Order: sequence, then structure tokens, then C-alpha cells
Amino acid sequence: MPRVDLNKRILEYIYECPVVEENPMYFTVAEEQDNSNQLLVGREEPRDEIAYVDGTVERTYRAEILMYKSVAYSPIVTEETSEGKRVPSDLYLNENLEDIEDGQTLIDWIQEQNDNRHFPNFGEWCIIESVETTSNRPVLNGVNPELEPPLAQYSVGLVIKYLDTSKQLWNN
Amino acid sequence: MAVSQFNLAQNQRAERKLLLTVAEWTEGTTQERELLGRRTEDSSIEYNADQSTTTDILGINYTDINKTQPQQDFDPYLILGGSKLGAKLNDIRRRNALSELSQFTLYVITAYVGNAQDGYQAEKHTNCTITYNSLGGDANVNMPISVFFSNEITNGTVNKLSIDFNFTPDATI
Repeated sequence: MPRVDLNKRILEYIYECPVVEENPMYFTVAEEQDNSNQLLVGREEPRDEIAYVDGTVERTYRAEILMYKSVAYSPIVTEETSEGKRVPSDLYLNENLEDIEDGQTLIDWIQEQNDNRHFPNFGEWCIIESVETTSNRPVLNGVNPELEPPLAQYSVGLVIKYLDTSKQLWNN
Repeated sequence: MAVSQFNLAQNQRAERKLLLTVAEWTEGTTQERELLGRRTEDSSIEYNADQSTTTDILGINYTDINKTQPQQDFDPYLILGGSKLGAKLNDIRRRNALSELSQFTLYVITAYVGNAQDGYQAEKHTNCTITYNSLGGDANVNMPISVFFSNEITNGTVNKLSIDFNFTPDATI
């Protein structure tokens, strides 16, 4: 039985998302630069597996997609209206607000694929149950101010549940 | 007839997947089969022995087993796309055609006895009953089922662990 490289299949899958496709993607180790992305594979412990009486096993593939974005230290510029209220100005869009939107677009894309049951191809022995994100919003892991420009690291957690039928004795 | 030994190494435990329960029924003119236990983590055949015990004046117990009523529960039994048995039971449930629940044949295949060449030991129970116990659940629709074995048993072997197996009754001497 040929072994399927799940990491490659995930990369192929994530690359279908427009905000990922247009930027460099790294695997495991990344050169931190503005707009680069990185796939970091998480731990998959055997104790998390669920073995069913028919010999199939439910497994979980966990990964994080890290997105590097240059940061703006400028405040959200506000303008005073004629009523004396202060509202964000359309003229001074904040870079941080725009950058986090890329992460949000990726999350929305993953959730849409899950709803449409469009899943990565894990091969004929795996039936994918779901592809989900661990959060409904991108998470800011931190900012590295020593880089030029300073980079923020946002993360989107990815959880793929799949049924591994390769150890099943029964053949349908 | 000699007792068949397990096809396991010394002290090797038999994996749960080596014990299979397969339901068989007729749909029109087509014979259908389905392996039970998809997405079920734990399921056992309960023999429900009906026993009676008497004690003589010396205090010694004599226990008789009058009958067994084997039963196996599958919980969860999820509504899954492609499940022919699930669709069959759901159709019976909708029509409340309860008598149709007792028209199943069940095979208990013990794949830890036998081999691919000579076949695996199996028991064929005819006129068995499969019933749905509830319908609902939380995230996914669950229809737990109970399987009642008839004890109308034919012992034999199956030639392979596949949906299209052939069951061969043991030769009677």
C-alpha cells in the first residue's frame, strides 16, 4: 500500500486558498519576511486515536499556518464628525487591520471548504471527516521588533479528523 | 472433531477487529450484507444465560443453563452515507413494519480461528432480529441498534473477510 505524504497533501490543499497562493509558503522552518506563510505540523499522539470495532481508526492531523505580516505602529486615525463624534478615517487605513484580514480570509475559506466537504486528498485508505480551524479569528502570537520591518506572527490552527481504514481486515 | 486453535502467537492478544458481526438480508431479489460496528468503539455479544441453581443438603450448588439469548448492541450506530443496513432499518422504522425486523441472517466470524487459505471459523444465525433503539443524538444522527441472535446456528467457515464471502457449513459426520 503506497504511503501518502499527508504534509504535501495539506500544502496542496492550503495553496488553493487565494491569500496563501499569492505569497511564499514555507514548511516547518521559515524565513520570516513580510507576507510569508509557514505550515507547522503539530503533534499527533496515538492516545488521541479512536479505534473502532471494525478495525478503522479515527486520527487527527493538527497543524498551524503561521502568517508573517509587517506591523504599523501608527494609531487608528480618527476624524471628528460634524456631530463631534470621532470615527475611523477612510483615508488612513491601518495596516494591522488589513493584515489580520488575510488570516480571517483563510479561516473563512477553510470553513467554507468544510461546509462543502471539499477536503485534502489523503489517499484511498483515509476518509476525511472534517477540516476545521481551532479559532474563528486569527491569533496574534507576537511581534518581532528586531526585524526590519518588524513582523507580526499570526496563526491559524488547523485540525483534520480522518478515518484510517488501512488496518481494517474487512474489505467492502 | 478437534478443537480449532487460535491463529495467534503465544500470548498474543486478539485484536477486536478479528471478531466480526455481519448482517445479511434480502432486498427484492438482491442479497445484501453489511459489517456492523462502523464508528462503534465498544460492542460485545452478551449471551444472557438463563440459569437455575439448586443446592443440595450438603451445600453443593448445581447450576444449569437452560438457554442463552445472545444479544449485541451497537451504540453509536450512526446514520452514515452509503450504509445499506441503516437505510433498510430507517425504512422499516418509517413504515413501522416491525415484523421485517426479524428477517435477518447474522454471521459471527471469528477471524482469530482459521486462515486465508482454509477459511475463517464462522457461525451463521438465521431468522435474527435487529431493532433500532432510538434516533437522535448531538452533533450527528445516531440510531443505536440491538442485534438479537436466533441461536438457529449453522457452524462453518467463510473463505475471506470480504463482503462477497462464501459461507461453507462444516461437514457433518
